[in-house]
Amino acid sequence: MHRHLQVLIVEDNPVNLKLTGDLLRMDGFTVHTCRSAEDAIEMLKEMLPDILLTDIGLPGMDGLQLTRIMKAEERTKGMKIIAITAFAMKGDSDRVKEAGCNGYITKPIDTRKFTLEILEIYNRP
Amino acid sequence: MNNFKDENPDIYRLMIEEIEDYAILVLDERGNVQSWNKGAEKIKGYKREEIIGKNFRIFYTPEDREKKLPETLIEIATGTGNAKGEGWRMRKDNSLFWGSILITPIRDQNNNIIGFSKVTRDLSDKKKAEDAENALKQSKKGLLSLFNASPSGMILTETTSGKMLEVNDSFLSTFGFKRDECLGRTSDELGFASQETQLLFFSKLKEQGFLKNEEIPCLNSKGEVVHTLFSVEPFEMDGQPAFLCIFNDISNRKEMERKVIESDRLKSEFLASMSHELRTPMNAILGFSEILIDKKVGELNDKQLEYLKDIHASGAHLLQLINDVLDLSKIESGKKELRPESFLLKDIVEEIISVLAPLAIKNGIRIRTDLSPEVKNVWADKRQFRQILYNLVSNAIKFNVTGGSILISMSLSGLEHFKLTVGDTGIGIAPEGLRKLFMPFAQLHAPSSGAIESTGLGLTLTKTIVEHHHGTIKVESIPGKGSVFIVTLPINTPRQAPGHA
Repeated sequence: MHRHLQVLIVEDNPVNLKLTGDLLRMDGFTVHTCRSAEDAIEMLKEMLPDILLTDIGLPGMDGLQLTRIMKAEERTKGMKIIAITAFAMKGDSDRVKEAGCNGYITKPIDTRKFTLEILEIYNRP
Repeated sequence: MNNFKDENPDIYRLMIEEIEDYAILVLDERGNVQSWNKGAEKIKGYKREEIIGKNFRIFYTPEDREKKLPETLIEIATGTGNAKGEGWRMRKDNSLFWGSILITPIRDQNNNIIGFSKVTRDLSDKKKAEDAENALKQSKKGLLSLFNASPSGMILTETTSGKMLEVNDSFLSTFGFKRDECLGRTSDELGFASQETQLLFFSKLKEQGFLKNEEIPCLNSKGEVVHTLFSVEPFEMDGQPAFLCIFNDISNRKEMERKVIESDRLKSEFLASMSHELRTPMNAILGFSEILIDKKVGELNDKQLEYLKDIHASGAHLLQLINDVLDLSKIESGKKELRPESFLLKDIVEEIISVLAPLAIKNGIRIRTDLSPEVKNVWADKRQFRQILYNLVSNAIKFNVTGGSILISMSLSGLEHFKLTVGDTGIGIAPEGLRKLFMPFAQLHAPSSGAIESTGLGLTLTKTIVEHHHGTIKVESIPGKGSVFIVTLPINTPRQAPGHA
């Protein structure tokens, strides 16, 4: 059922972007990628994926600010947003929830559970 | 007078005998008392009949007698015509009085000495007044040198006007003022304490009558802020009410505090970003090796699979090391706040057992529990408590022998603590190993490596967490038989962890 889900991944590190992208492609997702929140905003004017998967620590605008913008917009607020966080800083999980993310996945990711975790958050009411 | 005396010897003698304010007596040439008047009786306390014929040495203190003072006075009187002196003398009852004396030789017609007259006044009251005055002078002098030598800045001000009566050297050097510009002026006029500060302190001073170590910023002569601890004591200066104001310069301490806070902040920022930076490549190393191991992109031969697993295990080890170092640094710098909550200890034990059961089974180790039903809910940081138990139980598996067992037990320890012990039937720890056990990277050789790679920080971290919870951890071990770790923790962790400002 998830084989045709569309996901936009925002991740500045190209190797990590390849990892998450390839994992989701292997499981049949349609994957779009970009390297910054600013690029994501541009792309999201043209498209509306089912899931926005964003890293928190991005150069320029961070993933949380991107989330706030998307959740404030009528057209994009229904899009499920999942943050990827390294949980390096105290209070990260609270900040993720406050920004309006539907869920978060901690880094380093577990490749064996990654798709399942994405789907679990996507299917939450 | 001579004429009167010669013509009326009886009246003259009577006059002398009746004088009460002076002890007037006649001694023979050996110093024995020959005559005694009322004054002598009053001052020295002897009656005429008991003193006549006694030597006058009796009036002197034992120390003066030892020094042969009476004999010396007689010699002086003989040689020079009279002897004067003041000193403590003894009454009959051995009490002392301050006597002023005059001894004069009495000569016959041939100018031979036939005796001495001795006049004594009791000046005790005058002496006491003098002593008191001297003592006052001394103490004032002492106080003043104390005032001037004090390392604390001090000023004396008039109570009502606030004008400075005296300032000490420390005050002048701390604030950079000259004595002349201070005396007669108020601190406001001098500009070293703002009116605001003064009002604040005057109201408090009025309320409680003194100030003790109040932290206030003052301004020095250049207008720079000097942080001080300020105290005020009411004082009397030459009978006038005054305030003694004491300033201790704590600028250095303030600056150090600021630096500590700043470096603490920089350290945690550095740790947070380091952790983030290290985890990013770890994500790719672990993720891609996992994908390959899982054969998601194709078949592998045995060697390839083995090496990939090595890469993955090493990566996981490195990640654990990063996490442990980060946790340790955070706890040690007091940054990792305890988030206490109420939970059932039994639940955590069961959770840890289920997590570690596969590893235990793989190594052929049986885990048993002995949980006292008296230990129920505790108030502690659940995540950290889980980590304590995880570290101890995984160690007990790692350092056990195949077919061995582990006993996790829990019981109350007094009213406010509970005791958690994790015992194993493993290889044990030699005494020299015990000493270093809780030090970072003091790794012991584990016989069954299992799936857990050790970082060498597990026990250091465990001990730090336990102490953060105001608990203790100790270990008992018999090499070849096994070890038991005993953790004692408060049932209710105090809210404030040590090291929190």
